[in-house]
Amino acid sequence: MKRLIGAELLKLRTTRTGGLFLLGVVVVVALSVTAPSALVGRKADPHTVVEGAAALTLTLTLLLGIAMSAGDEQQGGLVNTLLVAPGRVRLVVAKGAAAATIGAVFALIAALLSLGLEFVFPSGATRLATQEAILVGVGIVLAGPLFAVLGVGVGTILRSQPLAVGVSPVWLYAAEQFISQLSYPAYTWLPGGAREALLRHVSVTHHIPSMWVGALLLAIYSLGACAIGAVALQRRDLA
Amino acid sequence: MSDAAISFEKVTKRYGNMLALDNLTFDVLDGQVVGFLGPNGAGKSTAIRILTGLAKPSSGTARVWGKPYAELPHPAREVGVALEQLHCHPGRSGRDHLLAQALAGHIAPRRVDEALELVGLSGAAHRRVGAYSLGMRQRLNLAGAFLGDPGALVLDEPANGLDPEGVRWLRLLLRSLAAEGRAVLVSSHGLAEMEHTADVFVIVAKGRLMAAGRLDEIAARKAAEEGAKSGPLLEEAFLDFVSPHEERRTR
Repeated sequence: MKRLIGAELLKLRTTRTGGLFLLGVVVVVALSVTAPSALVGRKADPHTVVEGAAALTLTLTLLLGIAMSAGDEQQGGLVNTLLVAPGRVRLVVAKGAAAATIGAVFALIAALLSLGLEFVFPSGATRLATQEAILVGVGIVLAGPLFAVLGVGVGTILRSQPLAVGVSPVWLYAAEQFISQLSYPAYTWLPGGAREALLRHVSVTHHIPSMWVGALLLAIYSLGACAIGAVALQRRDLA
Repeated sequence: MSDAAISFEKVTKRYGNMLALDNLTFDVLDGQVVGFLGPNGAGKSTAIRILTGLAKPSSGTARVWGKPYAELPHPAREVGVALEQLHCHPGRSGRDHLLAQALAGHIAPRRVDEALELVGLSGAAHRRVGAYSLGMRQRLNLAGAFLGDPGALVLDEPANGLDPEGVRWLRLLLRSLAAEGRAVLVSSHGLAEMEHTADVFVIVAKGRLMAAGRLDEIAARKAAEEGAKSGPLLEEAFLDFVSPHEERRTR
């Protein structure tokens, strides 16, 4: 299994994909943390600013997971690997583990960068309390690998990279937001709601579950998507 | 169960109402180059995908060294496979492509350079595959099959994209691998070339086995059927076996 995970990491390392995603994380975090204070002065809520940067990072890790599964299948890498290591379920597990590793690294970078920038260039009149900053940082680092694994699951199920890349943000940022307007309690059980719990979203009107509930919920979605993807991959013929 | 390196036993594959393979049975023995011949859509690639576990048969079994492909402990070291097209990210170098395969297949990294040397790609090892010519991509595809130094080889249209010198190189390589006792199954459209490369021929059309055996055996059988004194060459035998079938299809 270690060699299979190593091969997946090597595949990512030997194309520009991984580097471009990392650059995307750095640019997105830097812009989303520094832009509010630069544009409107120190009027924003620092927690909301960090949470926004983290949400965009998590979307990028989700897309990375999709690239590692659906993208790899479309490029033919999946077939190539199955010719030398035919265990399809093992391959999905290896992809999930590799994506989780990269997702954790990206999330750690995003957490350090966003909290560091927020400390140096505060977006509000007050800074985030140290304990709150640590908890938000932990939430980002926990959510990163889970979103990357979710991406692997979604990509394995849908097979088409453009479809998966299109559907996922639409689901997270349109469908779930619509559901949240209809019923916020229902929304808190969805991946976006779990993300908000992990990032310690603050709401005066709604109950937000604890970050540990969010982590557990997101883990169930991520592992569930990978399990469904593995079963689907096991059953289908590959060209 | 036969002791053949590669065996197809009554393999049938249906896609809905379409019959892609119909009860296909044949063996590839150690030290043999078997030419797997048939027109486009005959089912050659489907058979190879079933053999390598990429597709499931509707019925029957395909085995390598007596086991289904997925049950081989280290498939890459036991059977080398080159599918019709190279599957590789165009932004990755040829060497990195093979390194990832070696890592996943429990193959020593030193074999990567040996395989690149064998196919004559050492000089282009660090170039992006997207910048490779068709012939270079085919050589890289073959390098992937040779990576584990396997006892059996399954090559789907390996001469596609190779220039005449490359085709000759491939023929000599396959003959030398068979001389070392390896079993080689090679599908091809190049009948004249296969006549010089293969020991045994398996001719399929519309998923059905039309003829199998050495060229003289196939020719003798055809001659006997037609009452002729001497048998035809491979190309004529191939067309004789395939054409009536093709005509039947169009009626």
